[in-house]
Amino acid sequence: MLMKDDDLVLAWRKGDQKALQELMERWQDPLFGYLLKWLGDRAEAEDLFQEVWIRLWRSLPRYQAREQFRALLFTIASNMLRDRARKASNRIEKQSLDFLHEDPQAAGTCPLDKLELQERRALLHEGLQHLSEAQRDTLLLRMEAGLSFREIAELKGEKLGTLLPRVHRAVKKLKDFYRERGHEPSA
Amino acid sequence: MSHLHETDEAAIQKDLESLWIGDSAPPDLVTRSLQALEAECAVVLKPATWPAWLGAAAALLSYFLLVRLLPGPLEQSEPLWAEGLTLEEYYASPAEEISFRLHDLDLALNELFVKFEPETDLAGRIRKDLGRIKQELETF
Repeated sequence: MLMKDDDLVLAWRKGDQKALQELMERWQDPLFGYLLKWLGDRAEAEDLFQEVWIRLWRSLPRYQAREQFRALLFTIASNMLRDRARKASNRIEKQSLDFLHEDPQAAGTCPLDKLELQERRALLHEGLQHLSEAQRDTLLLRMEAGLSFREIAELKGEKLGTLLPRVHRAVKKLKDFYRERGHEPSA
Repeated sequence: MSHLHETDEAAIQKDLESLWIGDSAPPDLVTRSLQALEAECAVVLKPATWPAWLGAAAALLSYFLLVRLLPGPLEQSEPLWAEGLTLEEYYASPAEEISFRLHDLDLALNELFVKFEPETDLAGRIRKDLGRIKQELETF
């Protein structure tokens, strides 16, 4: 039977490294995807991935098992990203280039598919950079972290009625960006 | 209202899925992160535990040294402890206990500094050290 995140965290707190490993494996893709789309740089995303777990480790003594591990994990990641963004605010161009050149996931696929995958990914990444920080974070929390809009609203201390119109505008902006670049979003 | 939200959410989700493309973590990321965490935690543990242990031990040592050395307000609180009450019973909370002890330490420090007037280098160093210990205890 699959252990709950809370149980794994509590086991980790008692020093169980296997529990930590399972937790990390469980959340590696969503967390890495979230960081990568924010940063656009694989090496930086990997560094920050590690830092998030270190920060999480520091907050373990205060962790309360209320089935909110995911919210805690992405709150930490979101805060760290915002701190980092404040320190380096003019990196959009570099991020886009890095994103295009490094894509191990596409390795092994046929060159045309690989190219298309890279192009689509770069397009999404660039589109995300055109959103406001709050819009981008909300979309990433929904699509990468898998948080519901209600959970995101709670996490950000907002009402759902305030959050949804913002998401709506963000999605429209992203779709417009795709069209400007000659890409109709797939149905 | 909530039905409206659900409709909105479903529409937004559908749009997002048409735009989105997922990412996978590199295969060795977990292994590397576990190693980094292990290395970092050993480093992190030191500053996290040393000052607290050191601060608390030094403060307690100073406190009991001062109790022995100085007559006055500190001694007056001793008989109450000797009535068979545990510290937990005597103080309503750990915070209150720390507050009382800090107050006592303050009084003792003042007396000590009066004795060292005019201030010598040694007294200056002691004053600085004890001030730091008190500060650590306050934030402990």
